[in-house]
Amino acid sequence: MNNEHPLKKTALKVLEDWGMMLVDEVSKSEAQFDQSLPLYMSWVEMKGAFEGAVSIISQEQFLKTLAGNLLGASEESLSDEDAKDAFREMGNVLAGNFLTEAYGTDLSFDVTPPQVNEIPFSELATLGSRPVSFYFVADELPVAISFSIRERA
Amino acid sequence: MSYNVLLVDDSSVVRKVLKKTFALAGVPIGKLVEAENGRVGLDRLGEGWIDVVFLDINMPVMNGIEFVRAVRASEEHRHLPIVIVSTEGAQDRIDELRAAGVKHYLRKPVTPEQLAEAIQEVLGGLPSHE
Repeated sequence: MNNEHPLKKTALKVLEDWGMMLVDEVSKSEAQFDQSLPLYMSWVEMKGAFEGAVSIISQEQFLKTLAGNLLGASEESLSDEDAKDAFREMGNVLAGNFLTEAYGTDLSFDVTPPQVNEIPFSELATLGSRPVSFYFVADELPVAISFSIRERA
Repeated sequence: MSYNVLLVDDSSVVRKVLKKTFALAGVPIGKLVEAENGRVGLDRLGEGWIDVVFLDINMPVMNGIEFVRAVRASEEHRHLPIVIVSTEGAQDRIDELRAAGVKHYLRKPVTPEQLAEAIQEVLGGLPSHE
């Protein structure tokens, strides 16, 4: 019986589908983000049987690697917007495939268009307190992925 | 013979990837027109002949479902073939889109084989070159 969490399973598949050659799940402390560089978050919110969000946190080099893999282009030829756009789309694909993996095709959700923002490092610290969060090293680049359900008032 | 294709997706990277996928699938493209949302897509339809639309669902300004409804309500474009390219997995949404006349549904990420199959279904295959 496969007890792998659907978010972890989906994240691994999306990372591999998008050209990351070596993807390993690691502990939070092993996901070494560079505090001297900006941190970016791609996130998608969903509303249906529950309200929640899927988010991915990583740094510029990951965004560029992702865009380069997708477009088959050298990182030097990519714009910052290409890199952010690829990261934004990864949030979209991850959220959509995760919802199907976790909840099947019978439940429908309204999903917001994905967004990318630069976030403070303090946001990374709060990620570990979320019930579902996974850390990966993809081609030597740290990535944090989480899913949270918002309590209804 | 080649096809004029409208790509409607808010991600420019996805549009670029789809262009490459068309080439890998051997689909001859005459004119490839891009739009970043459904509203711009409707404007593009008014600018010249389009054979088929490849459409995302989750977009700002006007989403894919709203675009399909607008196209189906138009006298000029009501029979235009539309292929959805999305992460949407809910069966009732897919059924709703098919009921609105969407010809084919592709789940992201799309392979060249899936793209060729979609062209086969909605346009009767790749055009033959004399």
